[in-house]
Amino acid sequence: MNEGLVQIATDLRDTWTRPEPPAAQEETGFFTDTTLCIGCKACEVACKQWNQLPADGFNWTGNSYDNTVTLSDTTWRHVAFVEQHDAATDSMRWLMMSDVCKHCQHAPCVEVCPTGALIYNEFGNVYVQQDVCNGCANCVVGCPFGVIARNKADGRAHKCTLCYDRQKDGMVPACAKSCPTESIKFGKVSELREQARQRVEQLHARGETDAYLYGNETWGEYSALNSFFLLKDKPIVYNLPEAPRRPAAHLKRNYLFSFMASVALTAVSALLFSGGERG
Amino acid sequence: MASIPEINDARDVFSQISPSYDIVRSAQPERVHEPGYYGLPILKRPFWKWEIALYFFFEGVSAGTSVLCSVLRATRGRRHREMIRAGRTLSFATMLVCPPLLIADLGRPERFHHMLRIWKKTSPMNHGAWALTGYGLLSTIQLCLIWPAWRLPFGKRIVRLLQRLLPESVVDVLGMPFALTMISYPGVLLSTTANPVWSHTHFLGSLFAASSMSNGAAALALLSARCKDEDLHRSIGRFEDAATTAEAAALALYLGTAKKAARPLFKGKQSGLFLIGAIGLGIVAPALLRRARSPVLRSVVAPLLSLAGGAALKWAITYAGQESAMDVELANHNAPMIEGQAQTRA
Repeated sequence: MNEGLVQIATDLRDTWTRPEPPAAQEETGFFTDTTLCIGCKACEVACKQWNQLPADGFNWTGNSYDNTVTLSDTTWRHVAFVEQHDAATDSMRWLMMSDVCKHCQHAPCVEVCPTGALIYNEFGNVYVQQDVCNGCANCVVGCPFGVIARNKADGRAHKCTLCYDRQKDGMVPACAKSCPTESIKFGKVSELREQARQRVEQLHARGETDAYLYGNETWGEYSALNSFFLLKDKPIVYNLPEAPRRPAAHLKRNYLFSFMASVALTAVSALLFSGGERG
Repeated sequence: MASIPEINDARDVFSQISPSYDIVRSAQPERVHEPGYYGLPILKRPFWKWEIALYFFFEGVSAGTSVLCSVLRATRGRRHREMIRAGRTLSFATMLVCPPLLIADLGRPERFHHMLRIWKKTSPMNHGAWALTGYGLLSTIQLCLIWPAWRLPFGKRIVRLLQRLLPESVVDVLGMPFALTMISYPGVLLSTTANPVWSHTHFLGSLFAASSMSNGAAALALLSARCKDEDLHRSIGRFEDAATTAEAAALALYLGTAKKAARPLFKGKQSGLFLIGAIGLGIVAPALLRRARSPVLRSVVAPLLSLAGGAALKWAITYAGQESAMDVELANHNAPMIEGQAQTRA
């Protein structure tokens, strides 16, 4: 009984105690070059294994080789397979992309999280503090990429941690480590961006003019992504949004109109109620 | 000698083996041509369901009634003390339902207080948690101040002390910003997401706010049904008209700005509830019934329909998020409100 009370008191104290965060380091991220992906799914397996994520069952979708379907609370890497047939030349091409959390520079999930469980860690990665998350699921509706989800079994939000634990020990994230073609590159974001630009130039010089970078810089209302991609077709072909939404960009205007309505109606009520005889 | 085909890249390899690709095509003829990626959704379905829909309704009734009680007390407090007492009691009772609903909705209910470990500018849910805490506290104090201490089952001493220390007007003034936040934030909470039906507009907050104020007025109308004061009935009736008009205007603005994103409200599972429940029974019918001769229709049926309509509106819009999340087209172009900036990539 006494121990239980002490435990509760300690938990409560910890809730409002904020230790000094580790000193910020240079930002890290992923550059996923889809032209190099061979669809081996080593990244999916390595991610599941390192992060001890449960299997999602053996379901056959009939969607090419993609039986993983989507990123989720228990799947943090997902290889998309696209088979494209060109009727004119009767030729075919494969597009494969290892999808992952985008680790946005201004991440909607971080912005809407009411507990402060979602943070940017010292590597600038978007990270869910599992001891803080209370499973409100606001991040799930906040993410314009459909990455983060709440787990049924433990009630908390989960997604790619960019292998925070491995990075702490100076190791490369499991997916990048296991990628046999270096389609998944891990490194400092500034270096990756330069590398990516050079890769696009190289591809363009070879005549592959459809190659471009997705999330390399700010676009529309959305911030750059620290985990960005080299694609060869429209984003939607890989199930990525062409114009993702950044909810926080609309916060002020929403509040303004909302308070205008409630305050104006309160004023109207005061006018109408005071209009009669005073009591 | 047969010429060796020139092979430059992977595409050429596939063109050589195209006959076998025909088999692949015949196996899945449609899937390949579905929009996007096998027609799979981009967004995740919201986890927010009946708990949240009911919460929006109850907190709207509670805060709406609370604001109107404060106004009523400031304008004609002495005359309608009984009425304000009934209003405050209803407001408190509906407020009590809110925390359990919010806590039940969490994946980790025992961690509800984690919402209060920080103040966060960009998180409406965080604002809401703080507002509900302040509002809950102040509405409890307001209840204590308005009931005579001798009628309470316990806590008589504390209540007497509160009554001596805190003038009602001061608590009302303190409570007003909290109550107004409770009215204003729910729509904003839904709007600051990536879900098209909630977010492709700047007016969902206003719509919910107007609905909550009109529900507060309906609650007061119900409570005053037996009151003999014709003047009060007239004032409340007029305010109900004003709030309903504001609600209809906000609804028009919402639908006008959300455009295609409002589709799930006109087609699909929520359409009946939205069109018949929220608009027909919640806005149109009460506005007509308030002009009826029969006092029962005027001050009982009309406000009841208005309350049911508020619940239907909040339920339909909350659940419309389920279908909206499945819409690939809107999730793909999810930022239509900033013109000329959305960069398109071929």
